[in-house]
Amino acid sequence: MEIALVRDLLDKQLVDREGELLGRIDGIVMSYSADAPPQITHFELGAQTLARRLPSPFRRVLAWLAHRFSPRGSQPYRIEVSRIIHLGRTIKIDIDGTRSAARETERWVRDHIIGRIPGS
Amino acid sequence: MKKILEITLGIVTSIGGFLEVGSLATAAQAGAAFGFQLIWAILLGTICLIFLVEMSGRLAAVSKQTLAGAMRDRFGYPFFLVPLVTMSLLGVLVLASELGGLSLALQLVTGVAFPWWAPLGAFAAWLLLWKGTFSVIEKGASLLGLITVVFVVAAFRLHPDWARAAAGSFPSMPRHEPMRYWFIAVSIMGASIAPYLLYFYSAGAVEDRWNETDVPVNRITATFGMSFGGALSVAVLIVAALVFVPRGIRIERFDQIALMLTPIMGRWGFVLFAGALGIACFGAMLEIALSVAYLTAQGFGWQWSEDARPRDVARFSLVYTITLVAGALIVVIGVDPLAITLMSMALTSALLPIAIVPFLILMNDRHFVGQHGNGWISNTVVCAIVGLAFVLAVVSIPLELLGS
Repeated sequence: MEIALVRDLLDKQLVDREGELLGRIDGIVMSYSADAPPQITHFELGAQTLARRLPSPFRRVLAWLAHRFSPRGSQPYRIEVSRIIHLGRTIKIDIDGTRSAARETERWVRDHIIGRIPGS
Repeated sequence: MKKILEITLGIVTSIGGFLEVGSLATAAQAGAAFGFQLIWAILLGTICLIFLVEMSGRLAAVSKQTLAGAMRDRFGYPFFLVPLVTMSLLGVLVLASELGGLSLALQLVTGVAFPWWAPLGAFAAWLLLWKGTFSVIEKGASLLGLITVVFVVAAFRLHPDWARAAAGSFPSMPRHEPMRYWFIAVSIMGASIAPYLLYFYSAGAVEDRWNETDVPVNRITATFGMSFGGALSVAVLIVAALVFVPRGIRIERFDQIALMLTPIMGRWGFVLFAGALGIACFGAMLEIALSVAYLTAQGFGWQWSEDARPRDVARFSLVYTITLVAGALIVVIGVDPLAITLMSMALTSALLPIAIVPFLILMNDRHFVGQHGNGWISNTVVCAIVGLAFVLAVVSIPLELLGS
């Protein structure tokens, strides 16, 4: 199967093994060594990765915001491409989303803001 | 039988949800200032909206993607930020207009000018989003919104000269106050072609799990629902023309509009107007707050659903909460509600290409819509009307700002 990186992978919706939304592929990581062809190894998710894709003034502001406010700080979250279960309009990954670091910000917002409001 | 019921419900929903403070205020302004001459602007706006709503339903049914998700998917994250940021800011501004309308309605009904109506109204909307489900919000707001049919009743009671109304259905050059004329035309089109409606509609279609078999039903409900909805706006314009023009009333404040049904229906007219305004604005607030949350959550791939508990879709719930708070702040600061309504509607026209051009590209991309892509008619109509609204907006907004 032929896959176009930008058309078929970048910015696509990721779902966990239960089909729950995980986030979108914000960046693609490749590894390269002299004796082997370049290979895609990871997908990256997170505000730092998103910041790097913007033109410079915005990039610096967003990177600073992410560093300052994101619970993960400056670390983007990586998913090995070997965990892909299904490639399509959405991409299914063999991980448990409820514990995954991909949802760390979601959990932080739940525990510190939304979960504290009555009736949530 | 089930299909017929579904279609009827879809049409009724669109009619009840059509009028909001923007279409009401702009149509009333147009009628009071230019008689029947601006009916064409409502017709153009409504035709464009029919095509766009049908397209967003078709995109959701065929690709199983929401409009926001498909935009990020197709154009990538850096480009996606442009519609995300502009449409969210515009959403907050329009939400403030709706909240201004709701506050006025509450003030009219109770007779109390109370500065806290806006925060209270925003809180009530938030509570409904927090506790309610999508179908309760969509169907409830629209069924109550059928009260706006009162404007059609009023228009018929006034026995308008239908030949003159038909003449107003074709664009013509203004006979006086050209700047005002074009500015109101732009505001009317911005009020009809509300981008937030498209995000709301496509999210609803995905949440209801539409598929290819829903494409024909979607076409029928969009066409008839939006047409009848547009007829409500035309009715408002006709009533305003027949009530305000002979009395020589120029509308400069919101509460003047509130008197438009009184000469026809007396005390009841006043109450019905307040009820229609309040319900229409409240329903629109719910849709706008949800739309901003849909746009953000779907664009970033977060979990979203109006039917889930807020804690299970924490970031989604946070976005609509912030949107409502921001809208309420604008109203509390005390901006003139009529001015902010007209300006936010005109701004919508100016910003339309940001939302619509990517949407059109998506609807012509076989990768997304397969064989259900747009035909040349829908492409041409949408391009022409959005282009016209944009050009008129870019020319008339600066002139209006300089003039006032």
